Amino acid sequence: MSTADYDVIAAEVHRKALQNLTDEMAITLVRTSGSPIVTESKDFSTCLLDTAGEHLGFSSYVLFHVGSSLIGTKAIIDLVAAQGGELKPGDGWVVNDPHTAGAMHQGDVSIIMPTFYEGEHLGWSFANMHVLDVGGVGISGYAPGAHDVYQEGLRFPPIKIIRDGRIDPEWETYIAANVRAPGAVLNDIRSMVASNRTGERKLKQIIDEFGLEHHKRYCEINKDLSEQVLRERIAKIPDGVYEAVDWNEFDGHDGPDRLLELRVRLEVDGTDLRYTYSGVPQIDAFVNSTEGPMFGQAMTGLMTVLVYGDLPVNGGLWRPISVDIGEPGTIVNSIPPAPVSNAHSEVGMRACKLSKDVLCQALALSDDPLLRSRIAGQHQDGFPGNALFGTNQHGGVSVIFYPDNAIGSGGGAQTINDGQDAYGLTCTTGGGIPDIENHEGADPVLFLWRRLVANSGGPGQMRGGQSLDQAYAITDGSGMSGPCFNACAQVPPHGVGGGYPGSAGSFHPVRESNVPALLAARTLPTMERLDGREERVRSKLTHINLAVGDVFVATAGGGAGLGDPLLRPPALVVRDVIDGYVTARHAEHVYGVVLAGSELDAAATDATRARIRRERIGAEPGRALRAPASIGVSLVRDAEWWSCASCAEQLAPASGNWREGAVLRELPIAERYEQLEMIVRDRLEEPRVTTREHFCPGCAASLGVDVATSELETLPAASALREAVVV
Amino acid sequence: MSNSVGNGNGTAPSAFIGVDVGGTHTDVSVVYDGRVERGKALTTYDDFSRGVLEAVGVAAGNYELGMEELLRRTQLFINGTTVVTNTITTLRGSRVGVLITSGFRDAFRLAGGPRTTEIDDHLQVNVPDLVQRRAIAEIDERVNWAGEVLVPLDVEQVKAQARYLVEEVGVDALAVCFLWSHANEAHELAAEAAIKEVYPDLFVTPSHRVFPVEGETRRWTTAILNSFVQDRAEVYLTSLNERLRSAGLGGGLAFFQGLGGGISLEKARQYPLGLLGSGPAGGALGANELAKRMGKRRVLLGDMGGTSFDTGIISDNEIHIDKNLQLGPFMTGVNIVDVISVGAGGGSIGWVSERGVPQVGPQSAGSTPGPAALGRGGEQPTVTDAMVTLGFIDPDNYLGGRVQLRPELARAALDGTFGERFGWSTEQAAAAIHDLVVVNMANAVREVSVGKGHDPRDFLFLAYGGTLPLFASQIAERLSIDTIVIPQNSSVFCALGLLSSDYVTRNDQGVNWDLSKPDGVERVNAIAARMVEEAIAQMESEGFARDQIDVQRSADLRFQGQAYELTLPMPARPLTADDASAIFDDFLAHYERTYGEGTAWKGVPASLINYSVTVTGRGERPQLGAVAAAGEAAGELVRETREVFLPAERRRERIPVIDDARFVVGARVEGPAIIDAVDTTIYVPPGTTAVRDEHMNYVLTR
Repeated sequence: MSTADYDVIAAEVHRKALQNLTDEMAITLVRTSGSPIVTESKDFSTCLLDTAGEHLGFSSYVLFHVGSSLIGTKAIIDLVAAQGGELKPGDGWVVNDPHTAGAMHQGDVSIIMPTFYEGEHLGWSFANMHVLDVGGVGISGYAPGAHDVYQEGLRFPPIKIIRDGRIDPEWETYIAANVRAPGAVLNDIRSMVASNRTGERKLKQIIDEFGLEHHKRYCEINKDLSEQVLRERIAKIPDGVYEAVDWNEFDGHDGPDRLLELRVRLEVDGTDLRYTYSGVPQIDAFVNSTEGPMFGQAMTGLMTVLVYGDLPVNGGLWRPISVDIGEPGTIVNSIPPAPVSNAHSEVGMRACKLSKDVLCQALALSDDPLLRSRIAGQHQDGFPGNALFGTNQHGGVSVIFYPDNAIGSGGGAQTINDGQDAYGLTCTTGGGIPDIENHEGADPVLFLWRRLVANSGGPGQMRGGQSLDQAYAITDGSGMSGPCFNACAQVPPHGVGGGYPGSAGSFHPVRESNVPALLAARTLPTMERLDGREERVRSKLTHINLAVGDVFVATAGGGAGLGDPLLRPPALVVRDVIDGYVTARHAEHVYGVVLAGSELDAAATDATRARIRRERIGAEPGRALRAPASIGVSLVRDAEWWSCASCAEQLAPASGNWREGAVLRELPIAERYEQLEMIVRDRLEEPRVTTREHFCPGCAASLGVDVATSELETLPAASALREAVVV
Repeated sequence: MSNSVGNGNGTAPSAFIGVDVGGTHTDVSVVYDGRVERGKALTTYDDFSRGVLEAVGVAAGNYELGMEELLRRTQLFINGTTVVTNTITTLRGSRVGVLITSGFRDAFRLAGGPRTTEIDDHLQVNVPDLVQRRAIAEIDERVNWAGEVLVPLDVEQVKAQARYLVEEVGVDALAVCFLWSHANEAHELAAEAAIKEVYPDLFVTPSHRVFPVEGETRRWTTAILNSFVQDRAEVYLTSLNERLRSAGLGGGLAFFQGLGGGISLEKARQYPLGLLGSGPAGGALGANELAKRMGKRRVLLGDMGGTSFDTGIISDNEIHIDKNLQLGPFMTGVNIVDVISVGAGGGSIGWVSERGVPQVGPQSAGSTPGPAALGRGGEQPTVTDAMVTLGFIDPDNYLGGRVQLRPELARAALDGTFGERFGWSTEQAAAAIHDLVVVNMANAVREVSVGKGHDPRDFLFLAYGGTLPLFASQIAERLSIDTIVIPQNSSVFCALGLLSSDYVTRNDQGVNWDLSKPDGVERVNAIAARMVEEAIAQMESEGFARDQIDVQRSADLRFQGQAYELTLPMPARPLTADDASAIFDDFLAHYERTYGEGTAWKGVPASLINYSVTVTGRGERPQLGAVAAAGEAAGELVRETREVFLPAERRRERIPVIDDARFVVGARVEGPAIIDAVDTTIYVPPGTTAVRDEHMNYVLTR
């Protein structure tokens, strides 16, 4: 590196000051907001942007708001330019429209305000939170029953509702008249205004200290530095085109039960990354996505993989990256009247997994061991959620949106450790699970259990993280009702490097349960004692009514595995069996580990592992199964061949798909998961979902386990590869 | 034996001893015979009490007394210890078993959501298992939100599960964790009694006893931590008590809590978790006592050691207490003096990050290899190396001349890391490290002040610890603080702080009173009356007379539906229904003061969530820092001059070095200057004036 022609220390001090600024905006938001959605699950975001609309600092809570902040601010910049109006301190816009202004879904409301220094407009501050309600047919912004965006509740393209730092009273009246919890929602908006004002005050202090010219210069320098580091990392990723496919589930309305295909194509070109998403035509349900959720979720997947060590998040990060979502009218680029109230969590979360999928394919082929170590199993990214509304035991009403199962989702296995239990969604950094006592104290519910789900973590040399399962009975009031939705019930997240997919999520009500009778008999209603009419319900339910005495069971899904499960040290499997984290049958079937009492049965384990390997390829393997040199990297590619990383067996020409040379075992996923005592929702309609386990014909190593529909012939492999450009 | 305070045994013992067992050193401060003496020894990890007695022996020697003679003359011995903190950070504690409400045994892994705010997925790991999953046994029982029993406890099941945990799993302490036990403790108490029937000597922590507040994750985690640290704390407490008693200590023995006060041996045995974080709390207490003597009400305090910088805030002579301490990955209900720590110390390493940006810390060279200038193989430049290079640390007089530094190695390390890469002179590289460590510390001070709604300019900065006085002025300048106070005995300030501590216990109890329903007041009064009665009885059992006991009441309030509470003082009398609206008004005013005008929620009722009682037993305390009269400067203030590189001005200059012994009360020095004190070095930059006040503090003003 050459000698800098600026004060590097001052520039770094300035960067830390801007980071403190966005953190203090976040603190203000958390402290002044009462909503447990903010204080517990941390479903919010704050950031600062310049006049060009580039990020200067970003508080990492919900990551996908890099999208809503960029695009929402851009929409306001364009609007102001078009109107030719004058910006004034204390002006503020509300934004929640995915179609026109980059919002994630209507429930995530942004307040964006201009920043000034001595009269000069310097940029924008942004605060966003998931407000308790936005009206409409759904609750808390979720409307699985809506057929168009107009049914989904209040929709704000950028609207200037704030003047002189206060919400216009006319707008207050209007908003209050249209939401279920007017007091709470208006307080949420005030909290965001307070957060922005904190940002403005802090910015003035920073510029007072550094001077305006230095402030501007250091902002540019720090963006350049982040860009430079990311480009250096991208340069070590082999050039080429990487592709992946996933399916969004929609079984709502009156059917049919659909799987909506979407794809991504990542082109790695020198120090640039170009994502191109495509998908089937948009549908008349809340899963459709738009520019904001697509960009935000693509970057979320990218950030958790590539943002590590010394890489501050600012506008420099987005410069090497482009995200193309194709022609309008598809599920990845929908236009009105398409409903979008779960854009971020349906197609959006699939987009996040796709982004990480193609990156992991590419990183696995890098010469750089650090980059190879960044591959990971998929996170669950989808959760059984429900929002409810009804009277409570205190004589008031409860509006419920429990984040428990979202934050309780399992994390994907990493190269350095098993996936984290209750990791949450990829986007929910810092998320928390509210206590049961908080719920029972506020709402008419009695929890029967909250536990980790056995076998929920996808099998692998590193196991996926485990997920949360809970059940509550309605015990008071006059019943609760609202929408239910689960984005990941049928097509669970897949593993990497021969690791297996994780369990999916699910929910169901138990009608007319025996809970009241058990309680009358002073007996504890436990999972074993619970009885009643278990109802199979759709994963996207317009409205569920839960009567007093009904029980709602919601099970989050786990993270996916990394590496061949037969390579997992038996002692770790034994410990998991003793702890009850995996069942004995699961341990035997997928890990080949057998216990005698509470000890490892080494001989039986050896025999079982040998048998599993024979069964995998239908013959005695000719070569030994060895751990690959780089954990989780099951395939290597040279100029001519794709080969097995365990035994060097040549699988397919380098220009082809490695799957051609592998032994395939394809089973309907419900059947395979039943063998493994894992959870997935079986489809009753075509196409089926299958697991495709690919094994090395030489050593029987698990090379890759795909999750695909029976209609798709094969998943794509990396193509058009060139050697990485060394900078 | 009584642990009463101030009970002489006929020989009129009058010494006070404060001992702070720190990570590296065990520090002792003694007040006896009208003066303060110090003792230091290395901390002895195999048996902490050995180092304690050694350090006491050193201090006794300064009075020309034997250790046993000093102990015989001791009225009160107050001990702060890292043993509990250390047990948790090393995760080497008791094998704990848990009895938990059926259905909820995974609460500790779920941990309220373990993911951090870091983006990097490699930093997301499970919360360490303080208890094995097989050591968590489920019990059929249930209490609801109103404290009503839905399903009675099956005592026989409790006994059977306790037997299973002890006999089959091999646990050596238990915690009882039931839902809503803060609203109705009957089941946890009955379970404890049933366990004691089978195992009378087994250590049991019922969760409501350590944190009777809504929110099971914190309450239960606090309970298992208390049982987790029990074994090692017990060994320490017993060993220290026996050694001190057999060495002749006849006076009181108190253990200092992170809450900022002492407790007796017996209470420490029941609630060893209270001993967490006592070291920094001692410093804060000492800072507050000093501030009171100086007539100052608002203090930001800082303490810099080899690896970290600790900072906290005192407002209106109240030390800020952090409720619900987040202890690494563990959510707890521990109340502790709010001191935050950042990785900025003398050993912090300067390095260049991937973006090509110079950084300092949080990695530290520690004592091995230590700073490059030590010549023990350290090749990375540290803060100490920078200060040697700038001329602020005298290489011939480091640690009182016990260690000879090699400045050429410091320079080589700086040049190697920064010089060529940035085209800097060695001094410029050193100044860069200096600036960065100052910024890191100033940011921490900003976090404890601005982050809690205070303007640092309204505070004075009290800087102690051996290293901080070199940096205190620049930290203060970054925060626009105009007064810095550096106390005498800076390096054993924490141990000295212990001497001003009273006995303190604090209890929080969830009450959940809806202020819009004033008729709920009687229930709150009943709870408050019981809490006060129990707390006073507890303090009386420690040997305090009623007139030595102070009771403070406070309450946590929030708007209904909120998750964060604000704390208000409560009157020392039963509340009436009429108080509900007055308390609500107070809360509104306090809320808007805290969060800004117009932020209070409109039309939403508030609830009084927790009621808290803090009881203080005040005993006789040593007279510290008698006011000294202005003296005549005995000779020339300036001992010598030294060439230093002024970091802010970026220029080399020869500046005076002030002889501490001659820097008497009332003396004054204009910067730039260095004051060489016994255990610290103070830098007075240009434009700053230093005076010695009547408490023997160095007071720097700009």
